Amino acid sequence: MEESESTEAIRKRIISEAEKIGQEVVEEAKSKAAEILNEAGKRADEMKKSELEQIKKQMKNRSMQDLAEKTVAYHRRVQSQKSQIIDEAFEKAREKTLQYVKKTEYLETLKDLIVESAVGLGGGKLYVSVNQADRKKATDDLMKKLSKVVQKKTGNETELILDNDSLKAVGGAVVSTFDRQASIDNTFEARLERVIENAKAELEAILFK
Amino acid sequence: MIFEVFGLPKDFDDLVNDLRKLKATEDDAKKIVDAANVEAEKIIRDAEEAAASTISKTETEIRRATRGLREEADAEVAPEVNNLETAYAEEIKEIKSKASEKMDEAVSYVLERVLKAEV
Repeated sequence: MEESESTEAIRKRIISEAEKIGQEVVEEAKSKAAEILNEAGKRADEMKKSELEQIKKQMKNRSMQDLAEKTVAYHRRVQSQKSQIIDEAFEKAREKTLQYVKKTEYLETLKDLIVESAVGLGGGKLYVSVNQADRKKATDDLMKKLSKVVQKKTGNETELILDNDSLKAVGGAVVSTFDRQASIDNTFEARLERVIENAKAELEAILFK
Repeated sequence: MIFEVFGLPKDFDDLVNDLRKLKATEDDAKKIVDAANVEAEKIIRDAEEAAASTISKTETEIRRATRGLREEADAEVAPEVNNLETAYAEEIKEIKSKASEKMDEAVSYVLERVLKAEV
C-alpha cells in the first residue's frame, strides 16, 4: 500500500503542479486582458478628449470661415448689382448720344470737341476727322473759324483740315497732327469709355447715396 | 527482481504499473496545462475583441459627436447667415429704389461728361 501511495503522491503533485501552472497561465492571461482593456479604455478616453476638442475647434473654424465667405459673397453680390445699375446708366447715356447728334445744339458740341482736341495738340496744321453725316457740318468756313479760335488759345498759327476719311462714330471728332504722329480721340465713343473708366465713383455717389 | 523506489522495494510489474500511471498523469497534466493555455488565449482574444470594440464604439461616438458639433457650430452662425440674406434683400431693394430715383441724374451726369468739352 505504501508503494501505491508514493506513486499516488507523485501523481497528485504532478497534477497539482499542472493545475498551478494552468492557473498561473490563466491569471497571467487575465492580467494581460485587463491591461489590454485598460489601455483600450485609456486610448478611447484620449481619443474623445483630444479629437473632440480638435474637431470642435475645426467645426467652429469651418462655420466662421463659411460665414466669412458668405459675407464676402454678400458684398460681391451687392457690388455686382451696383455695377449692373451703373452699366445701365452708361448704356442709357450712350443711347441718348444717338438722339443728341440729331439735335441742333450738337453742332456747338462738335465745334467744342474739335477745338478741345486741337488745343490739346497745341495747334498747328491739323487733320480733323468726323463721321460721314458730320462732314456736311464741318465746312471749310467752319474749319477756318475754328482754326482762329485754336490759334487764339494756343498762340500758334493753326490750320484745321478736314480729313478725307470718314470716322465710324456716333459723333465727335478725332484730331491728328499733320504727320499723324499724335492724335486726340474726342468721338462720343472714346469719351464715353473715358467716363466709364474714370467716373464710376461719382456715379456710385449719385446713384446710391 | 526487486527494485527499490523511494526507498521501497518493488517488483518489475509494480514498477511498470507505476510508470504507466505516471505517464497517464503526465498526459493529464499536459491536458490541464493545454486547457489552461486555450483558456488564456481565449481570454486574451476576448479582451482584444473587447478593446477593438471599445475603440470602434469610440470612433462611432466621435463621428456622431462630430455631426453634432458641426450642427452646433452651424447653428451658432446661422442667425448671422440669415441676417446676411435679409440684409442683402433689403440693401438690394434700397439700392434699386435709390438708383431708380437717381437714374436720370446719373445719365445726365455721364452725358454732360461726354458732351461737354473743356474749351
